[in-house]
Amino acid sequence: MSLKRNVLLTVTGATLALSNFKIKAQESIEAPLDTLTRYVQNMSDDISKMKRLKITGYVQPQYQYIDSAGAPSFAGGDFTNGTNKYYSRFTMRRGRFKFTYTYENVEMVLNTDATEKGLNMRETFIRITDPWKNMFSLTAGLLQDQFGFEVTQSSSERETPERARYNQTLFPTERDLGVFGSMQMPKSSPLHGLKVDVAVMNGSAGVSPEFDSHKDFTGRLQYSKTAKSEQVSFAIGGSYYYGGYRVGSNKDYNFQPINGDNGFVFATDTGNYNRVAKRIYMGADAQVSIDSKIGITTLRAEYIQGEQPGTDKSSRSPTGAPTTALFHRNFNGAYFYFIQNIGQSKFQVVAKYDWYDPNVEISGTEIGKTGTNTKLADIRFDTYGFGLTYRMNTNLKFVLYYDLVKNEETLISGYGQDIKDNVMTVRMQFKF
Amino acid sequence: MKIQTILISLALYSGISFAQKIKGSDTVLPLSQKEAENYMKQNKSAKITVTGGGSGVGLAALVDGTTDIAMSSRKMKMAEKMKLQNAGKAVKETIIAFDALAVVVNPSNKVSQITREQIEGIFTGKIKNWKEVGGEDLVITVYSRETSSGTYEFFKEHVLNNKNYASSVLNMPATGAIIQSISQTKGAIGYVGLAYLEKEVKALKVSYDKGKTYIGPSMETAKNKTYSIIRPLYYYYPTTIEKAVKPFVDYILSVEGQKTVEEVGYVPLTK
Repeated sequence: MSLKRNVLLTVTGATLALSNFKIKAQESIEAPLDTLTRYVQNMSDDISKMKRLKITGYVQPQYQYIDSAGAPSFAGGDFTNGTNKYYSRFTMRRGRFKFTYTYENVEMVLNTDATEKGLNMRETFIRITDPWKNMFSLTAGLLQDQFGFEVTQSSSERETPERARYNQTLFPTERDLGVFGSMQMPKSSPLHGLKVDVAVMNGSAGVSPEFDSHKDFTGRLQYSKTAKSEQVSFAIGGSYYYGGYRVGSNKDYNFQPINGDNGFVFATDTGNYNRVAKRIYMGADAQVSIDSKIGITTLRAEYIQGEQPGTDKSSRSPTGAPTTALFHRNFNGAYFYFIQNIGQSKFQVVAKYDWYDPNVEISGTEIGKTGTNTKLADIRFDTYGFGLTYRMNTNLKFVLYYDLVKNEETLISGYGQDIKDNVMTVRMQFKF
Repeated sequence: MKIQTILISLALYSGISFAQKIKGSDTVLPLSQKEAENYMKQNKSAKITVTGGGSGVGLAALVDGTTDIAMSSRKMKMAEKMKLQNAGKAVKETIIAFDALAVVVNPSNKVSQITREQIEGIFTGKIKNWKEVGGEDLVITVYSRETSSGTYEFFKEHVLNNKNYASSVLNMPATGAIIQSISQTKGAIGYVGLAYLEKEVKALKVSYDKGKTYIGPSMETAKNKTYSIIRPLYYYYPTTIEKAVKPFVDYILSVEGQKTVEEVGYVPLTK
């Protein structure tokens, strides 16, 4: 009886289970085309989600050789490691990996730099663009300085290995923490080609947290246009920087006449802890590109002048609160590029000249004179660069470049004549 | 023997089985599709895929190396030339056909002819009512292509004398959308390629000599160049693959290929 009952229950259960399965199977039947459509739709949705994240970047391994071991250099840093001096090196100049996540009109960017010096954050920001005309955008976070052309141009696109000396001095990381608004006139506007950028930043070069309450302002106006023939294009721009940082308990010096000479005199208002060392820059830039039978020729120039505080050794903008005496200087600087593509070939030649005069009120053997308090940071440098680039394909290029660096001959020890600091750079770049 | 077999296979692969990708202008798209179809019928081993997206998309794909030929309804821009140079790519430009742009209105519109200056006035927003150009008292609704379109730029440069479109102009994503909108809107005006002319819209005769003579868009007036709103259509390809793409380009330029140009509704090159 028990066996019979068990058999009956088993058969009933199996029948119910099978009939249930059949019902389910009937429910899930769909036409092959529908299955394919659903499959493709799911794939399309997945791809759309994946396309929101874009990974781009470039790596720049290079070899360099300088005239004398241990010489100071703006071609990727001094040729020293602590107290050790050397005259040649292999370096990974830049190893950028940029992650951009875009959803509708919002973009989040994370840009890192992976080199032998470690992994550093270059940019982290959020950008919101107006969804109606894509005309206005607001960016906040760790972002690029918005002054001049060369500072904002990507190092992967620049025709020379490094930026001009004055740009490296005034904008050491080309980045800062803050907020930046941009307005770009749409194609349908009569003012198309016009772009206005306004930024408010910490002024601490983005590598250290804010150390005073003082915020720096940057404004940039630019206009670009291409001739109807698509043979000539030009762009002009004007930039203004107004900022500074707290001097605190450090001494500071103003430049003025002293006993018939020009030199630094101790400022009298050192009692005010919150007094500000002003950074005021004004700049103008222009470039023109002409397409002809010999290839595309580009001429580019930028000029800057203003006030820049610094130490006695360097006029570099601070990356942290000042800890030594400050010297207030009026400076100027400029660069000129001549870029020639050789016909339609893969070769391009470039010549560049730049100067940086950190203290325009003194020159030559006036620098270093006893009693003037003028030192290393007052020396003018002129740099002549020549290069050849071979663009193998969309991703890979090779650059051979030579920097001929001239300094003022002063009374400062070691700078009585031009120091041996010419640099040769051989660089490979892979961009993706 | 083995080496010979490999060499022959390689030769066959590179010479015959070269799959060509063509990308770019939506204006050139139907022409390229038809030409590719005909070419593949005659050359069984040829594989050609044609996709649209716009002139800018095609030229960008040329820089990225994701297309072999870029189709464009406008000349390559300076910025695009510079990008190609930076990618170490030399390209060749070939005009494969011409396209006539027709200025079209709703068929119920009584206006049948217009001067270039009046077109400029309408598209820049100075003329807002059809009565200002001899029509009835009716507000003008202006349709244009999107700003990314090569057609948009050509019309602005060659018909509007490089003046800017009025902000009230409605930008449409495709020619089909313009035709549909104009056919449904009594006071509408827009521009479309000759190949897209349909009964739902009416093409206006246009005067380029301030009203002395008016010429309507047709294959005949486009071919004899009496109609003025004509633009070249381009193919751009890297010189490094010229050998591989040239047979197809030469086919389009041949008598047979140019016959197809006319059949599709574009203007063949004059010999």
